[in-house]
Amino acid sequence: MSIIHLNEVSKRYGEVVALSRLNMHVREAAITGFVGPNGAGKSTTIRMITGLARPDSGEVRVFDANPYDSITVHERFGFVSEHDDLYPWAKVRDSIKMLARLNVPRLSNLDEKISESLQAVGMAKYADRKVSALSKGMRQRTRIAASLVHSPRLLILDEPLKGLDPLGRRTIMNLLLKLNQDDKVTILISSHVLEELEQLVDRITLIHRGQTVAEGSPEGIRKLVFSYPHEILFTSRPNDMKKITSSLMQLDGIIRSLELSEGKQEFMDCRVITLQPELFFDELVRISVENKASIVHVDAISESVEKLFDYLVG
Amino acid sequence: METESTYIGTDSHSYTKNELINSFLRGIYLFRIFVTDFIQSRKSKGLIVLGFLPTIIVILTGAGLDRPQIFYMDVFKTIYITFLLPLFGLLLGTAAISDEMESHTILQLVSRPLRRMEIILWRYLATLTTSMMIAFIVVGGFLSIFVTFASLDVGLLFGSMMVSFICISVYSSIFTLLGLALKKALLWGTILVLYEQGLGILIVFVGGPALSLSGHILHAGTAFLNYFHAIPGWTVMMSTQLLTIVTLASIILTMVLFKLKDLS
Repeated sequence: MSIIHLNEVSKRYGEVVALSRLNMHVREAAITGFVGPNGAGKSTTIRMITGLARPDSGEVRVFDANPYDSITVHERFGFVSEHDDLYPWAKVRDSIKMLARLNVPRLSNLDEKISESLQAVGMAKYADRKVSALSKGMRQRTRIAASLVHSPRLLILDEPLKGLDPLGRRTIMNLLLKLNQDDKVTILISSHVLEELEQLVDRITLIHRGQTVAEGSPEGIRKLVFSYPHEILFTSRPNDMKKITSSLMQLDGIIRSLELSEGKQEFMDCRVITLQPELFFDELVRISVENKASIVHVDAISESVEKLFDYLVG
Repeated sequence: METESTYIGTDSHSYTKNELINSFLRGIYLFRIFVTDFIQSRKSKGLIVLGFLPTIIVILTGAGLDRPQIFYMDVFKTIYITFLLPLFGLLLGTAAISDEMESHTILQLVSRPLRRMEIILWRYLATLTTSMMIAFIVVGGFLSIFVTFASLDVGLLFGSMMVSFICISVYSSIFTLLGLALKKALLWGTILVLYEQGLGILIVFVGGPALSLSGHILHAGTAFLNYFHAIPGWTVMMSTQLLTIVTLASIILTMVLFKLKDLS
């Protein structure tokens, strides 16, 4: 069953098309990753889901209701926006308390719940520190704690891992997994880095230029992404290069194209395009060892996320 | 959430008693956030300093102590009612929603179970309360000089606060609306205040004193303070009704605009 349902949703800002007939579903009790490059329309979509904005056309349903200015929908989710949106003058605990009271004005064990949330995000020892005196990562963790106190059934997180150090990331990811597994909280989490979410989510929706590019399991999406032609450059001495390339040419189906060029000093460069980069690297090492040919430099030429998504859109 | 069986309202728009209590409590907590936000801001502290300038001048020069009643009324009308209090309304009102938007704190509020019209209502009440607190401090400070050194009646404070309340209610509602509706609200607000101070006086010569907002405020204020201000053809009640309509219309328009506003 879908908790979030977007059907043919479009949104324009003047001449700019932010969303174009976007379709998306978030299943109940699942963790769904929402991935796309910057400017793809992730935050616009999240603002439609959280009722901060309305679509020009199409339909947005959350808990089977229109989320725009809806108390019944807003009561049931927790939201972490992409912005630093805490009042800077408040202390961490007070900041969470005053926001939580807007959700649960009569919760008797509020202090206890706040302590639990702070503990969960690793901010318990900073509870009496002013928000303005926190680092970016600490503020991010405080905002995540503030979204949890009222025990929401749905958590919507817009780039929540941005600005966190590796330990902070791990803490938050473990927390989200725990909330999902123990309390069956449905989670929608956005990021522009696919790898960041792979270990966390059950499903991934890829978005680019306001359209859904792909939707599926992390494995399926990974397979799709790896079908993208990867460009790899390696450098070797001319004699060694000859041995390596002649062996590479005999590989079946791994290499799409191979191009040799003069490198720096006495070296030669070889530029390879492959659909199976992991297999290619394995084969390159094997060939190099078997032929006793040395490779002085290997570089996977990084393509921009934009290009990858352009490729996926076709 | 537990639901009580008492329903209030029509069938199509019924609220449980529980929901109404929760809604009211949320409003109170929201009001507290807004008031604390105002108190913490440098703007409020700056306004208090500005509001104390007439008091400082009287302390330094001793001006008006020989004719306290007339001097106090003149300064209260010309400096506080037609300039300083509208300025408080301008600076606090225009920033009421736009500051929340600029700092993105509005996202924390709108994504919680609060109707947008409730946010506007409580924000307006917070602006009004804070402006009244500042007015109480600065007008009370000014009056205290004359009470202490010239035996002026302390009872004037009540009347002064009532006139201040009328003034702040009207200007805060107008400037909250401008702050939401216009991109350069501060500029338009300044033009409005200058209209009252400069152009308004010219228009008053042409079209009569009925065209001045501060004129109507002063006119309505005669019900609470003993000074003379008249608008030909207008009773105090008519001026009060006009000001009430302007205030309510501004608040309702702000609510409608905010209800329709995309927070993207």
